[in-house]
Amino acid sequence: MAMRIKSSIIAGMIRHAENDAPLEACGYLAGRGNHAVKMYAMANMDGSPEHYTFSPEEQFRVIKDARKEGLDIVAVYHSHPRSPSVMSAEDMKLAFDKSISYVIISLEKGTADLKSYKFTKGTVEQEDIEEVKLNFYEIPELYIHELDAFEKVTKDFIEGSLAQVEYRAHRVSFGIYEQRTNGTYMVRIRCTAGGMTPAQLAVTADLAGRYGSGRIHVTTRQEVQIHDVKVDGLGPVLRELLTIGLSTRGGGGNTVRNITVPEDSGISEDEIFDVTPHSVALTSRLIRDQDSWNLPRKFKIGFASAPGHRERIIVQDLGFEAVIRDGRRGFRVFGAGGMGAKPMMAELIHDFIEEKDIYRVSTAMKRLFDKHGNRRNRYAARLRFVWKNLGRKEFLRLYNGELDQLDKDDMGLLFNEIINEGTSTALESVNGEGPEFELWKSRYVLGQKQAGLTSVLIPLSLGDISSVDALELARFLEPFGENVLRFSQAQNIVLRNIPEGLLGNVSRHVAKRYPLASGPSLSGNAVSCAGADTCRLGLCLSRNLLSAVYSELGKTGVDLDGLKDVKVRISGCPNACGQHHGADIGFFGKVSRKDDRSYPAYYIVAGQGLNSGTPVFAERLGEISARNVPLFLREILEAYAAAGGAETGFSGFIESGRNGKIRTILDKYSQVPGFDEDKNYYFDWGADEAFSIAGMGRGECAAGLFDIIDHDADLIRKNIEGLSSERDEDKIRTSLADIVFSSSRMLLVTKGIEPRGRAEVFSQFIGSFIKKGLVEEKYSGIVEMAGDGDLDGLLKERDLVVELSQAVTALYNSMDNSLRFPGEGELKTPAAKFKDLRGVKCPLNFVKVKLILETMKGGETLEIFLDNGEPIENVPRSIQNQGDEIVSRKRNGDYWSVTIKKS
Amino acid sequence: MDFTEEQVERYSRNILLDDVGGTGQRKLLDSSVLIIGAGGLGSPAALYLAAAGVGTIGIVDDDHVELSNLQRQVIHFTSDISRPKAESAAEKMRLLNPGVTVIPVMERLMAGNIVSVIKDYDFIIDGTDNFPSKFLINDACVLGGKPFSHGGILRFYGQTLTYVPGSACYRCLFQTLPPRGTVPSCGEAGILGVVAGILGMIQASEALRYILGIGELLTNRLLYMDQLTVEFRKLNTKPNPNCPVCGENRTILEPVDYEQPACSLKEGPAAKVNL
Repeated sequence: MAMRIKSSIIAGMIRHAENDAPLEACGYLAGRGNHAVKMYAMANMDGSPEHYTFSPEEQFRVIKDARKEGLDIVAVYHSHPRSPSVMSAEDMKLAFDKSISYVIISLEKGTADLKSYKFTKGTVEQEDIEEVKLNFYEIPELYIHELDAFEKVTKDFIEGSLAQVEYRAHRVSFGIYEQRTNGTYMVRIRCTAGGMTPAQLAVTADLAGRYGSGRIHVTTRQEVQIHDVKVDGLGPVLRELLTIGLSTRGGGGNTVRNITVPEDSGISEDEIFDVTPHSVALTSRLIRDQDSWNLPRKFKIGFASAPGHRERIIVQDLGFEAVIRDGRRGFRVFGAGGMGAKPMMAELIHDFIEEKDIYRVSTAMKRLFDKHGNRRNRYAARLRFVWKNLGRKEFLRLYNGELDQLDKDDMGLLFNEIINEGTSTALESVNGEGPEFELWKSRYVLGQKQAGLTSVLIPLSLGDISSVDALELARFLEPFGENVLRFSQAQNIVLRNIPEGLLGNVSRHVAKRYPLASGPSLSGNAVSCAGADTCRLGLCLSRNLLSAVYSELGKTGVDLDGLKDVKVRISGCPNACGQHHGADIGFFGKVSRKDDRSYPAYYIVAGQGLNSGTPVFAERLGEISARNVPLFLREILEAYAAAGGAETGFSGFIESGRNGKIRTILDKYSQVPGFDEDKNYYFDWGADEAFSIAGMGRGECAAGLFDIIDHDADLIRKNIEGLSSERDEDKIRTSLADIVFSSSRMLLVTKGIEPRGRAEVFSQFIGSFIKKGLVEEKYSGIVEMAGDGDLDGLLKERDLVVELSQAVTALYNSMDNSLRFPGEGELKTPAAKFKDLRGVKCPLNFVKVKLILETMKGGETLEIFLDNGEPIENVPRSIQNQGDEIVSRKRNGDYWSVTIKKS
Repeated sequence: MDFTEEQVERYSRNILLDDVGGTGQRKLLDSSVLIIGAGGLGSPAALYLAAAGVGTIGIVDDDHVELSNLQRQVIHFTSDISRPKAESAAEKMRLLNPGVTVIPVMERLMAGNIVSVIKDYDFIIDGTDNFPSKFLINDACVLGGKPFSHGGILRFYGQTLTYVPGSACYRCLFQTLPPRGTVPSCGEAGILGVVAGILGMIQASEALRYILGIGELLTNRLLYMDQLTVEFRKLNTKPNPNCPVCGENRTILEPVDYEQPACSLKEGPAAKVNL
């Protein structure tokens, strides 16, 4: 068995040997089995070039330290400054422990030569050394097979034998989303802790250039995305990513998502300890578990390494906050937090757990979620809804039940320390002097706890970096070692372990390529989600808005450097991908209407206090047209600077100005002119066409559609309320006409219909609701009257008008979250045959399905219930293999309903 | 096509096969196969056909189990010594699969009784050990229009072919019995048990595939196998127009009895084969 040693340890041992030459250097390697994860450089008591001895005190201390971390001593290393790397007679004599390995570093030939030896049956034998490179997770063997299967379904999809909806089920859990333009896909790559090596970045950049849009996008979960990949490029991209140790599994869908870690973990002076190794080990375990890919909804895990990072974990499904208790490392655990349209602060689950228990805790939480998450309603599916439904007591009782079932010893993790160190690079230092350099340094460079090393923020415009820039960055970073960059949650790149003397080189590289780097850091820290140009759920073009914000802020005379900590966050819809709940000042997209025309708008939120003792989300302040956001934001920031800026704190500023200064600014920008007056308001930022909700059809989330529905529901309610006290017949007539109009229009949007003008509202309502049987035929008369302007007729049918509005409201209330009404969709064509195969094991369940299918005619359908796990993994595939079609598969708690169509 | 729960589970591995499925399993359950000889070839064939769920299986043998049989006739156990072979074999098949009907026939098939014994079966397996029986079975099956599998073994070698009406029969290849004494019997020459096992299973496979109507049968082909070199050769054959039982001028119009010692076979398909 080869000795597996991390490359940073190999480098560390060589450096130790070189530093101590001509004397012998010596030390211990700790780890488990044949895997060394930690190096202890120790003193050679002999001070000799020919032999070494550890001091008993140091030996004792090291062994104790290793034991505390759950590690064993797996090897002794020492150097041979002037002789080859073979075990000498002296070495054999000194090798007291025959169960561990002995690593020798020979410097005899100028370049270091490493060999490892082990005793077997009394004789010493050389063993291979396997260098373990820096990796932010280990891809399980199984992934290779999953990739084969994915390529197969992709091929089927291209050839037309697999339906779009079926293909989506496969691709989404591979982090592949269809973009707004049909046939183009986004590939999201897992980057635990936002980490990537320069070599990985180079290949990713190359792939983005060859298969994608030529840019890489950094997400708010510290992953990177390649956009605009064609369907036939998906397989090759995934396969090439695998060759460099990157996976996309869990990039999307109802899976364990990328695990976040503050970008300064491991280098920050304030931190408790580096949590990167924990995120890496946890990821590597979780992505091996099949049950990580089939949860009721996504499952987000984050780490915090310093007290000031509470905001990073308080909005995740599971958060681990580093703490040291009685000298032992561990975590405070939070759970069931989240943003989205219905945000919730995470609750405290454990005040302290041992660090090795993070996998056990994660698994228990995941299982609880798996069993109790709401799979029927994806809008109420996240873990926080489980908490809300069960209540604290029951949630914790069930969670502890799960935890008790998990073996403490089996689930302990081993952590590979990730070393932050400068490289002895041969790069020639470029002189970085002058005011511009100093200004850049003050804005973008931070010290590290490692003396002489610095961290550099590269602000990315909208989280984007071109393939060319990324490739050049990767090449530039190569001499700085593997552990040199992180993607941050603010969608920027943060370099680390840059020797101070080489900052001039970095400055020169960055200045040419990243325009935002020459400005204040406020802009780079602003976050926007992908928005409607690529996201199918998006309402507004949030990215374009952020660009407009950049340019508007460029015009201000105020010193934005004083405001660099203000968090500007923009989401294109109520889903909080732009993290607007964590904004000092934020916006999330909505659809507004004026004179029967819709225009893009945003709700304004402000004043987050996620890091405070009692954390609070940003609160809603009002709404504003998309058009006016940049001006409004600029003026707010100017007012904040004038009010003393950072000294008061942004939430204080918001609080004190809520009814004063801020209200005044908001009022100033709240007006929206008519379409004929100023068309700009009806075009979203960067859009060539007037704003339209067309294409935001059923099936996609489009949560903003509810705004439109609620608008009509409000109108109906107001009119009906008014009716009861109204005596003026003309007004009653008008009210009745308005009620029919709103009733007719209210739900059109659920069918993706955007009527132009009143006549179309009525005709579409009759066509899509009355004719389809969703609304009773008896109302068609009054709808036609309203269309014809027959107000007297309506007056006679006053009761029926009210009844219609009630019928439509009732229909709305019965709508499910995929915008379907009872009697629609799958309910319309019930499966002709049914078989409950729960409790039937593989392959007997498939045998039974096969027997039934043999008796059926082509085109007939069969619905079956299958258990979760092996049955759902195997049976549908077997059915497809024999040529029959899987029409749908839906999870209901711990079993699945699968509908099959016989070919 | 109703199956009991027990049947679904018992035959699940058959049903899983695309070429079998429930339809195929039903065919097997509705079929009948006659195995002539409960010896080295008949033993594996009987066990596998019962296991597969061939609904009715006839097993013919008039001999009794002897200690020297057990080296290859694996359906019989030591405790069966002296029992009628047909009875011993039937018991094992019923134990293996109580769902099949087993009909033991403790008779020696002769020209006088063979026609009535084979008439109710869909497929016949010749697992006999002597030339008179092999020619008798061939003639009776050809004359009665019954598909059958011929099998013969010696030392390390075996041969088999399948006849369906219209294809080459055993007599098309070997017109008459070899002269007495020219061919050693198993008793004289010996036989490696597994050779019987392999060949018997090939015959069972022929029966199953015939019933299911899948794959290609060994018709118009003689399979010859050598278990020393593990070589399998298929020799293409064709109906012989001069065949006395299926040719243009038939001379054999009804089954005939011959007299010869048991367990005889030419060594290989050499000289007299008409290819």
